[in-house]
Amino acid sequence: MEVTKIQSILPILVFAVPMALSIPIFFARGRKAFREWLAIGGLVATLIITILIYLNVVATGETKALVWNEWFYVDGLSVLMEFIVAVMGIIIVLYSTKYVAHGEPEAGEGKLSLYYGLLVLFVGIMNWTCATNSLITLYVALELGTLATTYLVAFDWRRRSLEAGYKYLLLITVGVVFSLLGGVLLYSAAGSKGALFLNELGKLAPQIPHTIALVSCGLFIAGFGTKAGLIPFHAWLPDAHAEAPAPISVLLSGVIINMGAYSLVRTVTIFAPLYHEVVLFMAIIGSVTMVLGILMALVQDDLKRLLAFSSVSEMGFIVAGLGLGTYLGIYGGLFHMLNHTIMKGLLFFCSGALLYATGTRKISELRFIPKKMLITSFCFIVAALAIGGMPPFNGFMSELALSLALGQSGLLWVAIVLIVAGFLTLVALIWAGYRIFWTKPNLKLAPANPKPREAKEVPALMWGGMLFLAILCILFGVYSQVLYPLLNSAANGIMAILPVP
Amino acid sequence: MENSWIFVLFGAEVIAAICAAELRNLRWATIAIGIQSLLLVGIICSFAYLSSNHSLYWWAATAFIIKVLLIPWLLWTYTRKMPISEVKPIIGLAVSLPIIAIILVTTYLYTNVYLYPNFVNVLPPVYQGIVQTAGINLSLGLAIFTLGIYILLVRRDTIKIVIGLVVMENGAHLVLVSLAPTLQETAEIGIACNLVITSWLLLYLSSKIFELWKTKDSTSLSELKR
Repeated sequence: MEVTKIQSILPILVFAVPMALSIPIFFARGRKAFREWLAIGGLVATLIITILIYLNVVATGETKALVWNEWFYVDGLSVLMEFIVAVMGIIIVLYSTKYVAHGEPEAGEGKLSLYYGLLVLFVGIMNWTCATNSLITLYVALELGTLATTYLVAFDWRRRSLEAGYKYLLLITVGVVFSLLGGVLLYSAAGSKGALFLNELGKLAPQIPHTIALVSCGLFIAGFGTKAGLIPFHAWLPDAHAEAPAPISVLLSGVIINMGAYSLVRTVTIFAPLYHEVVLFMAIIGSVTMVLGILMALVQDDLKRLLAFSSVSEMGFIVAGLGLGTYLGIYGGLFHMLNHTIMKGLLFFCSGALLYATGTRKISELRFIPKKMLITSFCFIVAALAIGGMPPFNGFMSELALSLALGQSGLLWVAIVLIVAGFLTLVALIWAGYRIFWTKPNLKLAPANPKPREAKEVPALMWGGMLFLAILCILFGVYSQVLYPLLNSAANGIMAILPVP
Repeated sequence: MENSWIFVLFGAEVIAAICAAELRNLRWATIAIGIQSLLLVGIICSFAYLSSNHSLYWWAATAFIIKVLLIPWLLWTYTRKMPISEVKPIIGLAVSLPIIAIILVTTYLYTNVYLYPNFVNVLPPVYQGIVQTAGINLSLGLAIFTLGIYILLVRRDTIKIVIGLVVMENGAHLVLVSLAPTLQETAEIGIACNLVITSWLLLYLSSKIFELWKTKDSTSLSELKR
């Protein structure tokens, strides 16, 4: 399958525009509305550019890519990631306008300008990650993304969030360096500049000696797997997700760890058709991550930590599919990546809404939320059912695709592990939802906290985005063919690069 | 042995890395890391001269500004805000030195003896005349990289952890010199700039933690385990 390349400036604009628009936000102190409107404006502009790229790359139905010389390459997969980043970015900013001010009433203008500026800058950096065609620049951009979000993770500036921010930065930096070594090893082994370009990796992969290819894949899995939160490289994830403000938890779960998976599919998946060891190793890591992640989630009382461990588990699902190197595996993995962003994002938004309304995120203290939080409870249940793989929600469709792909590839045992992990996820989330929304507090166990009984629904800027994501959970489950052109283009973009075994 | 002077640089690099790891006075450790980075610059310049690859001189210049000047300056600045004596490490000097020796020797021998036959064909053509030297540099780089990871694992002081990160990155840099000497300068600058910002952020967070809770001990950052 040949990829038609079209020279265009759009691959540059998609990251340059948000980066440029983030600069005035940093200096917009004392001008709250201007700052927030500029942030939203910047992200809407990014979304428009992404739509233009979509029309050029995906809407034609052919396998195309927009390029800028050889250094930028935007195919269907890049478009998918850029859509995720732009749409979630807009919802996060809108949610933050109410959430951050409520949670940090004494936050100065400087701190808030830094928050929104870093958010928009981060969107630009993530789009740069998806647009770059260089393996080394991919590493640089991923690291820059980590640096941009460290402050956001530690935003509350309390002991726990400072600790989380410190661990987040240190562990990811140390982990991702392994991917740099892997990239350099490939570059050297291929003996040409081509190995540095992601779209050329497939052509050079058969020439790379067996040992070096496997060592490189191992280094990539260690490096990008750290970013993706795979076990055993996940130590940073639960702390960072739990202690960051809820909108930033959505960012971490919906964008940052997806970038780890994106990097894996750009590098490790390329070798999957050539070496069955790669497929098997990714399947094993995926299976262990699926099971251990959800088992750790089951014992959490902190709602955000529960969701964080669930994210670890879901990354196992995604990686098991992407590691197959088949069309259905890649399609299923990317479908689940998109769905996970929506479902987990919605759950973190709900946890933020509960924290906003009641001041606590402990499940044991959240009992008996009155019917005044109908929208939050509806959204939570939709997301819980979706992520648990129940029809007719979107999670069911992507898990079905993954199970079929795994079965087709002869890895039926992994498909069984996936189904079991999916069931455990359903149990964990529904049990949490039941305890929060339908159980009266046991005052002997939980401290008397009248706030849950007095809680009321969050502002519209918060529940609006939540409702939108809940509708997507239903829409993409009932009518998942609406996603077919985008996911098909993304999967074909990778298939076109894969070497023929 | 030809080019024996470069092996003096290799040896001095290892000694400087060990000093950076073991010196309990953080200012002295900062000086050691500055010297280690300066030796790294010397090694890069040596490879540039031996292979006639002039792009490596740009690498050396970048490494000099960032690793010899900026990072030690950052470390020095933050040692003025916090106690200069390192928090007692998990493993004492008497046990640590033999462990470091084992790590360095094992990594070097494993790379040079076992892995090297696989890598000898992948060394860039620009090193055609100095294959052995480039191979030894590769092994050395991996050994120092492993030493950096060791520092990160057994040191509790938050400033010493940053020093460990820099040692690790210096090791990675040596590996880059051996395997990817024709890498674009912009990529090299990007990698180096990431290190500066990461070091600064880690030191900044450490100083805030010290300001609020009067501790540089990373093992005391365990509230989230509860």
